[in-house]
Amino acid sequence: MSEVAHPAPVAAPPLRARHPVAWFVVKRIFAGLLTLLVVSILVFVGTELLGDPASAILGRNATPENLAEMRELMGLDEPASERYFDWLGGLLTGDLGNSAAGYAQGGEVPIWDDIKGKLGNSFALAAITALIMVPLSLFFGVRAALRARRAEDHAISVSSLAVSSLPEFVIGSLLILAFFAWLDVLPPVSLIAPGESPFADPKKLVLPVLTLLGVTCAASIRMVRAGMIETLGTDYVQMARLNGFRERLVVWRYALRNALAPAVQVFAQNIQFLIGGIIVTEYLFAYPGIGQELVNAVSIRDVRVVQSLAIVVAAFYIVVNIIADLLVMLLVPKLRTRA
Amino acid sequence: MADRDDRTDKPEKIWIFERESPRNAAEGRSRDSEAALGPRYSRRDVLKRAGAFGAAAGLAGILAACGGGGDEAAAPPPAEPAPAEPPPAQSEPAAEPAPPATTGAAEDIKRGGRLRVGHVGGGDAEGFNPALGSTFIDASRFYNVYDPLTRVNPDFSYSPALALEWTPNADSTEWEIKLRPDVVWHDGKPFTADDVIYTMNLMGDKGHISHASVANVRLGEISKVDDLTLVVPLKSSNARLIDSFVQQNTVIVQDGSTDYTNPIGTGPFKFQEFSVGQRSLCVRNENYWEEGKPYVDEWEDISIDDETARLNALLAGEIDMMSQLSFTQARAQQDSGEVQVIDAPSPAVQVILMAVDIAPFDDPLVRQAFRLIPDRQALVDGALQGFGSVGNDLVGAGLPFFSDLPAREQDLEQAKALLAQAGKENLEVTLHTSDIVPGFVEAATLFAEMAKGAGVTVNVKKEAANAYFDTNKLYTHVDFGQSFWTVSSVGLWYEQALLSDAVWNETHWKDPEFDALIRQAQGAPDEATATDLWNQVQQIQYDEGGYIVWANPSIVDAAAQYVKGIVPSAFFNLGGWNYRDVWLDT
Repeated sequence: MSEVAHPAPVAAPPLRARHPVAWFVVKRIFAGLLTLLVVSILVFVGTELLGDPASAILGRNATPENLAEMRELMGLDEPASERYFDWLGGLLTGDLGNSAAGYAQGGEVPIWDDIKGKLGNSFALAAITALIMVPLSLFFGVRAALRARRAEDHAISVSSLAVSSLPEFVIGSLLILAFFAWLDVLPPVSLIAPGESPFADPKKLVLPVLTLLGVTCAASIRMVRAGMIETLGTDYVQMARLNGFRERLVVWRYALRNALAPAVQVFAQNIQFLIGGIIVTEYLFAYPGIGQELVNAVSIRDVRVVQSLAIVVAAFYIVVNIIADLLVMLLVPKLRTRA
Repeated sequence: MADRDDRTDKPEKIWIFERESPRNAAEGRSRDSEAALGPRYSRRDVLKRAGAFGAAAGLAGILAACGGGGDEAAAPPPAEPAPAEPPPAQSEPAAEPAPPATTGAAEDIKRGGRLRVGHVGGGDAEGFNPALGSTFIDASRFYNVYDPLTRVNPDFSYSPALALEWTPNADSTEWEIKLRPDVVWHDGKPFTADDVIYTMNLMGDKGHISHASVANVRLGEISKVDDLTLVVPLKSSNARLIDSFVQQNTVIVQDGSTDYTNPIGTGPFKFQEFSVGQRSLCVRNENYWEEGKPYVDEWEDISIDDETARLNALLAGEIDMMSQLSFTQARAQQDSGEVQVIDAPSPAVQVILMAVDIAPFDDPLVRQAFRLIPDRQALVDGALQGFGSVGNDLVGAGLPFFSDLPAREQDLEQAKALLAQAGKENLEVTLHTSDIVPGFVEAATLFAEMAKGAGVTVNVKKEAANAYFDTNKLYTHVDFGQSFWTVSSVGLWYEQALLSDAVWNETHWKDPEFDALIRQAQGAPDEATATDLWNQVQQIQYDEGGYIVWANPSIVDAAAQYVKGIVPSAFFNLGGWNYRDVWLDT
């Protein structure tokens, strides 16, 4: 048989081989920035297609002079490529520009002032939901996997599926019915005053968070469960059990780490959904978040606000993806040298 | 024994990444043990599945929100109250606004507190620029941060606001307006005729929503007699110039103002903060020209688009008043008594409209037949839960010059006969509806049911709420649809809906002789002539028009039991957006 030629030994492994995790992060950040650049172009082109913002703001009967004036204020009279680079430059320096609605009112209203409160609210909601969703899904997913195909597994699967198959507003309305109409312990709307911290009155957050958990938990639980069942069937788990390791150790320390890799991706998906995708819940609870803000901006064709929000959400998505992949990498040491 | 250092005891495979890595293939790993692990997911699959899940959820969310959120997000556009007739043409409005007619003598009134009012929001279009806002929340803000020249009372009579006297010349082509003295802007400057002239010039801009109010004014020639008097010359005689200056977009702004992000008005409340699409906060104007008013210290307007959420907020005590309560909820809340339901009969109309230039509605026989189809009381009970009165196919019930012709009864046999005469038996038409206004869809469905009895098949088609009143999309472009108008003047409504070149000519009625008749009626020198002319106008519409005005729906809002001082107004919601007279009994 032919001999496998071994490569000549090298003097020292290159920097990136010595710090694979850091190299991974660096690579992904660069890729993320590149993606953001592409996204910015797509967003820019897409919002160009929204139509003329000036006439949307000023109404159909606006005179041509007014429209021309508004376009000049909004900088729409410059060619597209120039506007794009202006906007990009503004993004990098943190100046998101002024909103069209502000110009319509005759003043300059920086977009950042407009959306920062709502961004904060959305992040707060997403953070609390995520912080509860992860342990909850892990707990129930693992329990279901450990008692696979037995009563408890069925109970968990069926109930989580049932809840997640209900539309968001049905879950929310049922919760309002239960906790406000019947029990009167929680407020039915989550009106947060501008400038107020979303944590000022925690009771306002309970029902939206429960609604979002209902929406997101089922998929997570089922993914954790599936992963765990897979992993519990592997050789090394069997080996560990045969060697007399305590069951709790086997499950929570060994099996779970490997089962988590796909689950992390589902958690990431859910967290991305929680920012910018929860408009129904925001609408139902009158929660001032960026989902509603985005829809409002689109309906009035406030191009700058739409662009800014789209980029923020895209950046967030990319960051979550990077963290998710990083987590998987940390969970699965073998990947550190191979990825 | 096995090595207890588990960290080196790495598993053979991580099933997520295995399949994708080309090194596996290169290193020739066997697939046997992989098969034993069962079905394998690749990261692609996971992401696809999860992505589909997330996308579907997000999409469903956005669709539901757009469908539901479009509701009431655009207010019915024809909110152009030109005011009702004043008592004789030459008079000035009656005495100072009367104190609230409801509870308690003046001594019982408690001052202080924050009045929180919930409305359907206007999203990013909200603001304090009177040139642009046409929704209910805009009306609420304009009427309380600014003042109009004249106010409309709950019974449609007038009270002077910023303008005290209106004196015409002999043939009503020139009006002298005397303004209220000792009025001060929120920034301390005195209110003068310059402000009124500046506002009127702003209204002259074609992009201003109320530019029709000054269409007849020779803007360049308005003259200031002194600080509190101005003379307004007109292009043609108009005995009722005052009518044009009560609507929400005609409120007076300060001379030279261009920036409405910090609005200065003369109104009972001073602007403090505003978060667009969310809420605005204003504080009492201590120097308001109406002594002692307003009673509350602060007033907040909060945007809550969803009607159920708004009602829940009211029930939970998060807000004190809300505008636009749906009829079904009004019925339920009246029964439960937890909140007070404010029910005001009004000249507003809900109509089913037929475009008179599109077949089959271009045949007057067909239009007459369709007007005989509905059982109007049944429609009011079914679609409005009884909150309204039957309409007689004419607009302006209760207002001066309205022709009180009898409302048609349902007569399916006659309808069938008329359709046969027109050669249109077994007609099939599509009725375009939307849930943008409460009662539309219910009325359309009921009408379709009733039409069966006349051999007409009506297909009810539900359109998107935010396209329905959009002139770029559906509005004034459907052949068979519905509409909603708030009305405060017969004359102004005909100008807006039935002139050949009217912006909101829903029924496509184009008749130059009819136009001439309306102009004649508007310029009539005395009441008798005017009445006669308007009767002629309305008779034509009664006989041949494209409107089925089946109801005058009431204006229905709600407030907490401790909110006092609201007088249900036939003019507009929440007592005509009157927060000056409101006080909180807490």
